[in-house]
Amino acid sequence: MSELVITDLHATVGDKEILKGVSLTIRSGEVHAVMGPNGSGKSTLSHVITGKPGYTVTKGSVTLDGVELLDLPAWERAKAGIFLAMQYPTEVPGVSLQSMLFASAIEAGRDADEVKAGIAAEAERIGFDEALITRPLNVDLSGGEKKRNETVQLGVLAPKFAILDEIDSGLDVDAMKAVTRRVEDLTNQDEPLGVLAITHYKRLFEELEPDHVHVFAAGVIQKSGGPELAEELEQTGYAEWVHLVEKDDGFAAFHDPSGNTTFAEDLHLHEG
Amino acid sequence: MPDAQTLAPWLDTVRATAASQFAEAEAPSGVDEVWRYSRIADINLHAYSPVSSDAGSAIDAIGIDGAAATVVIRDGRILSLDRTDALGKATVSSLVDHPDAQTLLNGVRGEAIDAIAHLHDANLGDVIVIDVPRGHHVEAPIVIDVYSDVGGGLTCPHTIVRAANGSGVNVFERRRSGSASQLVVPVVELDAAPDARIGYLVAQQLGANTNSLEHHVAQSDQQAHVICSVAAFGGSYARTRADFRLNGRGASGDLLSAYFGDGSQMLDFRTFQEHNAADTTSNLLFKGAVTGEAQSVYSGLIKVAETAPGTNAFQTNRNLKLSEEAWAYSVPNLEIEQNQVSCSHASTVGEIDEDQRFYLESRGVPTTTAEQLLVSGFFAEVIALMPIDAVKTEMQTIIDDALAADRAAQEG
Repeated sequence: MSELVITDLHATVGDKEILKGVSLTIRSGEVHAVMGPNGSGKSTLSHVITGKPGYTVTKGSVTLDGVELLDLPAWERAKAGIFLAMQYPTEVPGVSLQSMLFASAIEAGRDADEVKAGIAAEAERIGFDEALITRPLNVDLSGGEKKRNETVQLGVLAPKFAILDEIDSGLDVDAMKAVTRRVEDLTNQDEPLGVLAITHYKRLFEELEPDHVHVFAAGVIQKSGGPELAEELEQTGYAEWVHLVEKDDGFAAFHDPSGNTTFAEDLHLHEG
Repeated sequence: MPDAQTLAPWLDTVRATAASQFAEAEAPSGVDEVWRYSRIADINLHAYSPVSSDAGSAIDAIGIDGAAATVVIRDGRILSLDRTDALGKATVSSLVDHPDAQTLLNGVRGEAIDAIAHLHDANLGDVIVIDVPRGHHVEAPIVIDVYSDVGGGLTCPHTIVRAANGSGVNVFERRRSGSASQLVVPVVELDAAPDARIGYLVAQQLGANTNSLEHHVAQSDQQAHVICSVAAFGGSYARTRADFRLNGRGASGDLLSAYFGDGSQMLDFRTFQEHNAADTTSNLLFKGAVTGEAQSVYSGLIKVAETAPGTNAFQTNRNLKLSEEAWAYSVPNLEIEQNQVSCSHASTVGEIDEDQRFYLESRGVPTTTAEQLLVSGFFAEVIALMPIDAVKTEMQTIIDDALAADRAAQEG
């Protein structure tokens, strides 16, 4: 049993404080949903935990089984057992999925043949075109293929915890099912995966049942509950929290350095 | 091996004439556009002496398994010339042994354009001629391994590749030099007759104290295709000028380069894509990286003559700057006298993409390995387009090793 403990996490981008004291504990096999309006800092939370450049942690800690992740470079955090499925997976010309995972495997002391077999098995399982394994990462892939690609990596790297940053965005229904079923399976295996699923919409939970739902706005968790909280949000939307964000930070709070999120999207919440 | 000087009086005349022209020629200056940003002003062309044929610089040749022919040149002279049956009807010879010697020499290049060309002609060593007859294809590569190592020495290698109608050939040249301070002034002439195909690649692995002023001139006749490529790694100031002439209707070709500069070296490239006939196509892709205090210069011109409607000309130069002090200059230019053309140029100078690096790191790939994968991937695109499959892995490895050494030095 592993434990990812986030304690009073504060982080800034430039002069702007985006995370204002986030505390959350996730254990193996648990699925935590973090839901909130766009621009609330959800993606920032995923980036700060995994060590993406461009953020400054001003206070707090993130530990994995007692090891302080914030002291480690990004790749060592991954090696320790954290995986980030990105909202917009980066295109990496010239580097294939296979060569990246081989490089990771070498560092982790894993056997290349086993990794190769693992990639083939995971690709088959979720319908990721095998021809894409040796092509440049994410280059010219559709939204669905990119998310399947992220899921293949998740399966092969077998981390202790996965942060899924809007894994439902840009996905058609079939890809959505394939991806969420695979994640759900991983949370039920012998050494179960812990999941922090950042999302805007409840539709992610059709296959991936959350144990805990957190409403995230204005850089903090505003409210926590069980799956029923997701239902409630589906009915009421984030109006309550959007208002709070606006009052607190003004429009600028909606600028998320990682994505194309805009305030306007929040107004269309119920269409999702 | 025959000494060219004793067998060809006409060649002595060429040398002597060029020597007097060099004595009167104005040295190139950094003010000229074609020399802008370069270190040419730091090089005294008169300070080097021709290397004598018995200088004795020795190093093992690096061949290619299954090569159709292998020529070894040391200090400007042919040390050995091994031909195999794979050559078929094609010939590889010293210029003086070729029946068309006088018309072949500088037949593609033409008159000397500057002091450096005069210097080259005045100090010509043994010239290699690769001649492929009509309709004949040499599948295996022809290899030329060139080396010199004499302090204050000057060597002027010269390679001529002539492919007759409908023929095809691939030539790989490896240029190396020792640690002595020296000057190398190579010329390469590529002549593709109608429907012929020439693939040429030079690996520039000169010593750190060698200055190099290399000139490539290629001409393609109707429907011919020429690939002229340079993998440049060594030298102190190492320049390659390429004049790429598309003279026959429907001719096409690629100008390619992969370069990696480190230490305090400067790699300098000037390209001229000259479209002189209708429906001609040229693709230029130069990709380079500089680290340490190294500098690179890329300056290219696409020239479309009035006689060349239907021209397609593309020019792309991409540079990775891997250290604070490294610099890459990139200056693309177009000069078009025809309206019915499709031309584009693009140039970039940038660092390793932070998001791409993070993507790999977030999968547990250590930072240094991530950078190696990214740099390697950056070059893979252009190396894939080069001819001579047998050396592609080696070219990639040279870059990987240079980057690893650089990163180790930065950490240490």
